[in-house]
Amino acid sequence: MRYFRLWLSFLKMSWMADLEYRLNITVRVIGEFSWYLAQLSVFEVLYLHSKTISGWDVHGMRVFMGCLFLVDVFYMIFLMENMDGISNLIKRGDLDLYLVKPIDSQFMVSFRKVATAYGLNLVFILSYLIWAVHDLPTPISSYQIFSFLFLLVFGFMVLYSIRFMFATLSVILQDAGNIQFIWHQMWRLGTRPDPIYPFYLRIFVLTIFPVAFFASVPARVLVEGIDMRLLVISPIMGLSLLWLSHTLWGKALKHYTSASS
Amino acid sequence: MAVHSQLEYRVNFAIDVLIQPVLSTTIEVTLWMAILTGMGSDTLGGFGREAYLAYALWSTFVGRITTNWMYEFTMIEDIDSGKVNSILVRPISFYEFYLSQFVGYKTICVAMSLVLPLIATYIFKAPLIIERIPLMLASLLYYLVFIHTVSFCVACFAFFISKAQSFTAMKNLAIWILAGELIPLDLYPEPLKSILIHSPFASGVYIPVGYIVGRIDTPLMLQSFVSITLGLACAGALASLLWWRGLKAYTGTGA
Repeated sequence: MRYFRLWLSFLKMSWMADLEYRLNITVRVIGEFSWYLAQLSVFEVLYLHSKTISGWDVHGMRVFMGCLFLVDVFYMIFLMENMDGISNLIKRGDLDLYLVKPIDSQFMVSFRKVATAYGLNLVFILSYLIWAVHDLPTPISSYQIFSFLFLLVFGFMVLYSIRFMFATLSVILQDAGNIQFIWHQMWRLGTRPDPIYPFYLRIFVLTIFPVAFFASVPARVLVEGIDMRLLVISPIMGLSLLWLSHTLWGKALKHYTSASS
Repeated sequence: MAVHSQLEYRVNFAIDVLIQPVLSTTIEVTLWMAILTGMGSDTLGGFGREAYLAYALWSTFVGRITTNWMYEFTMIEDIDSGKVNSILVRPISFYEFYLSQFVGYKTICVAMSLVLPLIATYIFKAPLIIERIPLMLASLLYYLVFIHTVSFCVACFAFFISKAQSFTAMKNLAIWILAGELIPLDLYPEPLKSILIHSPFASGVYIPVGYIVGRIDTPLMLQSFVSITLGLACAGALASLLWWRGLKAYTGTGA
């Protein structure tokens, strides 16, 4: 509860800060919409040339894209600015200020900023996803919706944990700007449904670098039906990666020398 | 200067010119091959798997060469912080100063990473018309001048507004689509396809890559020089307008 109240304060501060640069926010929101259109255009164009891709028709793919955008907008709202900023905190020595605060430092560096402007994108994406789900040839059950929400929560936990571990490398390597690029490339593997990948790559995105849990696994529940194995594996994956990210952060802080001192 | 400053941080530079292209190319090829396999068809839009393999290999390489984040951010930061003052008194313009740095940096990137798509092309036996590479490189060099001018226009917004960096992301996203890095431009339906192919941005990826992999012919390649010239004239006029207006609005301590 204490952490939630603190997060509400972060939200309020971020809202005020966002209102200071309105044009900047508008441009970023439009930019994000352009990214959605770009991603949609890929599959809409490809489906002009083919009826299915690995058994997924255009309706299923639209649901997947809706899930992907939903996860992406949550990432943009809650995490992106914080994760991208960790490297600068370390370079400038500003991390010291967060380490002396009487709360968990991982929480502080992960959630101190909220990109409130993307709320508009969230409304748009939810509308798109609802439309895409309604457009599926077979109607979905309430169990599928609950399973989807369940998997979405743990998928987001997986996303947060992996992204945070990449950001943690900045503490160890000091200047890891280009390492972050690797994250962005691996994330791209999660921008396609995992059934389209060949067997070994599919294993890779489901286990070693589980980007498939971000959007593909939740979308599969809506498109292909409930798979009990995913409902069991997803929380295990999410919770273990969260624990791992916390442990890694603790170990990385032992290497932290403070750039400003 | 660009060469020296880049070689100062060698690990970062090695990641930038070697690891990044290898990783992004691998991902791009993987995504395209997965899609083509999933479609269960040997061709897409009239081109076979090898054509898409070659396109994916080279579009990532060329797209990385023609994109401009770093120097655009630096120009914006210089205007924002007032650092531009020190360049205004030099016997070289702000535009030329960063153009030389940008072209210098991209030249060493090409020199050091060109070998990677060549090796990949050889390994995968992807189609490549090797004698077309010099003209492709010349076209890329000319395109760099155009894209720097576009970046300069974006940077000039920093005279009038704070946090002009948000325009950079949007501009690069637009170019990503318009250049054909996201998807080959010939897959779009008409008349969008013709419009996109004849825009100067197509010379950022689609035309040079299409030319060396045999997807397009020499007349279209030569025509791209005309498109770039027209684009350069428009972007140059806009840049000039924004720069002189910006200088009038500039207080000397940043926007």
